[in-house]
Amino acid sequence: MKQDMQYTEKFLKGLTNLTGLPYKKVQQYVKTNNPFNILEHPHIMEPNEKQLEKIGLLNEFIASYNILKIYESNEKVTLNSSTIAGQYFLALLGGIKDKERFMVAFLDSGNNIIETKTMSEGSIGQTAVYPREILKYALACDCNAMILAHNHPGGSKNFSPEDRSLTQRMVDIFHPLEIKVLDHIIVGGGSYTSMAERGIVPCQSKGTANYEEIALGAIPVEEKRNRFKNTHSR
Amino acid sequence: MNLEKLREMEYIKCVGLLAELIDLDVDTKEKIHMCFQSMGIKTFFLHLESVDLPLETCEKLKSIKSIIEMFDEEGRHA
Repeated sequence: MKQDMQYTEKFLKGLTNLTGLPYKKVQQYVKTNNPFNILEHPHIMEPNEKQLEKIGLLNEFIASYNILKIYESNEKVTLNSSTIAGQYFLALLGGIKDKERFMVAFLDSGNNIIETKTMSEGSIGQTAVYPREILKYALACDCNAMILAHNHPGGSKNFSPEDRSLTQRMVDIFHPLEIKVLDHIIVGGGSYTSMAERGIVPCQSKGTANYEEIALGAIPVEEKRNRFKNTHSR
Repeated sequence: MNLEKLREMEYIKCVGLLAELIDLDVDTKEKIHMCFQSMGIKTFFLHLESVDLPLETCEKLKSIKSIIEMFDEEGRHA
């Protein structure tokens, strides 16, 4: 407990030194709240433009640091389980709260990463995925399999019908080419969910390949329902 | 792309973010980049005090270290 307080104290000092946020204000905030909220939801501290920019840089640095920790702990980055894939994409996407990013890890026959690419990025509810672009990269790197991932900035870890439909469309495109879609990871609320873990990754084509753009960002039905309930309970 | 290249690209990105975050000059940025390459980022922060850097930079890096330590600690408890 005492050690936790020491960590928090050092964290707050470091945070205020780097960002210029007033120490007393953050200290007051963490008396009743989680200190990580300041980085995840900086607007609660009413920062000025400069402070907000520094917090953004700090978040990006932490994400990069987490990726490098993974790179340094393995000779090869092998995504051979949904847990490892989930942790990998959590490190890459966990710090992004204000926009949606769709990424693909292209893998060789041993499930080692050949390359991980950001395939699209946009504001909430406005991200479009272009299957043709993914196909282009997949063929260029001669991959054997791929893992899809994107974040839900709203924090939900539920798969929306659009997420499932996107996965099916990827399978429709890549299954005939003998490129496996192994998993689709959703990152939200500081954690992740894996379609493979839930056993819902399609393994067969259902239709012909459709290369039209796919919109991301629909809110899962369950989340909509919860929001509705919350409105009524006030 | 092999791991070495991926790691190097991430080092470049990471040191660029550091430069913006704590206003590094070109020489210090290059020095930190070389440290990352030779010892890795984890070891760099672990042995920050032993790295030859300007005092002001070292103080700012200690602030960053205190933040990543908190995340590492949180990860261990999770």
